[in-house]
Amino acid sequence: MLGLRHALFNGVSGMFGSQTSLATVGHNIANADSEGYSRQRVGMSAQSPFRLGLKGYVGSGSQIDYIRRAHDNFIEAQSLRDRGLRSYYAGRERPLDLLERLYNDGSSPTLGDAYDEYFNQARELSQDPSSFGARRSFLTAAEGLALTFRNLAADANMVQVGIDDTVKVRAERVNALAQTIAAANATIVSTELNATDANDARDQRDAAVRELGGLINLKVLKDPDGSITIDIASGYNLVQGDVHAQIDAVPDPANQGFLSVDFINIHGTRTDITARIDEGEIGGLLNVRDTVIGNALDEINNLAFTFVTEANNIHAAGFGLDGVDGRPLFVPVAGQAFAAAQVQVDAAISAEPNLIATSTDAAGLPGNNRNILAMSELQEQTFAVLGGHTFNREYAELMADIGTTVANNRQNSEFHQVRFDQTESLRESIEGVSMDEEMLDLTRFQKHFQANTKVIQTVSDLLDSVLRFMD
Amino acid sequence: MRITDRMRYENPRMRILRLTNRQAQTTEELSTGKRLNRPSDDPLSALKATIFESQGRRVQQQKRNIDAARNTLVISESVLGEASTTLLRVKELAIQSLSSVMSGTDRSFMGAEVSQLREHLRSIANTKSNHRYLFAGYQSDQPPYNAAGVFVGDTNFTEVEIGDGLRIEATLAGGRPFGDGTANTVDTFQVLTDLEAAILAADENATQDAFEALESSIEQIITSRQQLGVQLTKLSSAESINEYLQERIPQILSEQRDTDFAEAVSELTLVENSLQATLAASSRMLNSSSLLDFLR
Repeated sequence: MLGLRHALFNGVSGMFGSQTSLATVGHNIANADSEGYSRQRVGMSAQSPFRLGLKGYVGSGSQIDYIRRAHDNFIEAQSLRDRGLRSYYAGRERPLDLLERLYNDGSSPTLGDAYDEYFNQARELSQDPSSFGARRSFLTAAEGLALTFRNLAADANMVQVGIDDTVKVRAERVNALAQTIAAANATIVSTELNATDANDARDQRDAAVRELGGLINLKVLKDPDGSITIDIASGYNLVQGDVHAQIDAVPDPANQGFLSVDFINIHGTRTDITARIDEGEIGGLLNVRDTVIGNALDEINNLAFTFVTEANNIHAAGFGLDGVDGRPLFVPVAGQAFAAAQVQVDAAISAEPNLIATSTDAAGLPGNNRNILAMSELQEQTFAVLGGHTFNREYAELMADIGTTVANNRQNSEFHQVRFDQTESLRESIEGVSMDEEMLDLTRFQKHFQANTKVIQTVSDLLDSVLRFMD
Repeated sequence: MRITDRMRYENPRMRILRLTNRQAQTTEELSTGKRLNRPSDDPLSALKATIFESQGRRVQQQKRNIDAARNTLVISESVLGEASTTLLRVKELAIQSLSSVMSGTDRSFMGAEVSQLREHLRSIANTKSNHRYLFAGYQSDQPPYNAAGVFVGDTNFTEVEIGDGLRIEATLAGGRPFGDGTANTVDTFQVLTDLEAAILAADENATQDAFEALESSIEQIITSRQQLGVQLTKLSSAESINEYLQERIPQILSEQRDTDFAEAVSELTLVENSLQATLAASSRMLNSSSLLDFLR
């Protein structure tokens, strides 16, 4: 025999289910625009039925099985990878633009312009080596060229320093994210021990992992207990369960004091992982700082060293108006390293233009212009150390190289942005909240709730009539 | 594919962003008139443009050198013309002294005139142009012929660059037209001194010798003038190459870096059209009603 209470409980269980569903719909709507939020669904099923003698089974209402978020592991992994590449190229973009502007910003004089001015003033001086005005002009051009070299080196260095500032901030962010992931791991493990889904903690953790993937190359390993292990820079466990290690950006004396990235494991042991970071924004920034700008500066230094040495060789062979030879025009540079930053006109010549060695012998003073002619003809000379180019040509080649690097990066950046957007669209399509869908659900569960209250009201009416009968 | 509310806002945002980017780039090309605003716009063209720009500046400087060299050569030429005239007058006097019977007074007058002409010639040989002595070789800061008419300069000539790898002698070798004190040249001033002495002494043989030496002196100046002519011809051919380059290089530069307006305008129109279409489509999508509008 079945009691009226049974029917009452069935109604209550349905009401409880629709209430929970309504709450979840509300949660979805509220988080429609939350970063990293995945929509959630309530899973309901029939409770085990009640056996009615030999006649069969009577249903005993519904039960809530789970509240689960919409999630696709495959898309999630793809999105992480696309984000890493996109951020790599996007991170390179800004410093590369700055670097490119140093070579040619379309307005201020370039190194090529300074070379032209220097050699042309030498030609002007060759017309009349005794003219003080022409000497003064040549000296100004030489000083201009030296300054352009020094500025180029200093400005490129500024870009590197700017990169370091960003790397420092990003490294701190990596640590904050590692902490978030470790904490989320702990929550997820303890929540899911009771066979429930820690949806919001998982969303939070996924969002942190995604952001981390935009900063540094990482691999995510899923553990059976629901926690994840984060491996960064191919082989270093940043997060494992509820503990996390750290990274630290420290000045590296072996690399001009630029920051290197150290991994500090949970025991406090440091390892330099700078060279292993090759993706994400930090990877992109380090690549521009050490490889792109590093190589560009090497080339500029090579150019500066070759020029100073060659110009000095010719100048030292000649005689100034005072009949003295053997003077260098530029302060000699010891080697290629940091040569561009040291290009400077000799102080004595700078103060006295008559010391410029225009003549090839003391007897030919002041009219002998063969030495200054030779100095001007240096412009058309090619050098094996400059790849068989003239000074001007080599500079143009360096500029075009940077241009090509920037153009390639821009293309890659656009390509990976589009790819990333597409993957994100896919992810959003699966995990995102659709208002229309939620509205439908809202109405559906409202009706569902109302129907269940109707069941309860009917049972209540029945109980009332039974009670009245007993009066 | 499920379309969520975020996608409805994100997708148009990304499309509009991409289009406005292209629009900005094309507008920049049109407003600056340059296709190349930074090396990365077209690295290869930037490379070519930089090299031609440098050559353009060098060509301009070479033009300045050509002009300066022509100045010096033309002045030298006219100075030597004056020197020729002077020596021809001396030649007339020499012929006169050889052909007619003259009194002592006549001879002393004639000697005085030769002496004057010699002094005139010395001032011609010591001509300065642009504060430098034309015929002094490298010793351009002092007169090449001293009061006694002795050459104190050197025999060098000044070269300047008038084209890539092309030099020209912008001056004659020092002392070349009037005698540089070596056996290679006739010492014109010594010839005139000898002639004056021979006329005064009424020494017919010596006058005859001096007359022949005078012929060589005149010959020497003519040779120098011919040489100047050759230099000026060389200069002219270098100049026509130079002028060609000055005309051609800006054209090449323009080809490399200037905006092709027809192309840029049609690109801009295209971008603007797609931008408008995107905006129109997006606004329709954003304005389209959702279930929310109908639920009560």
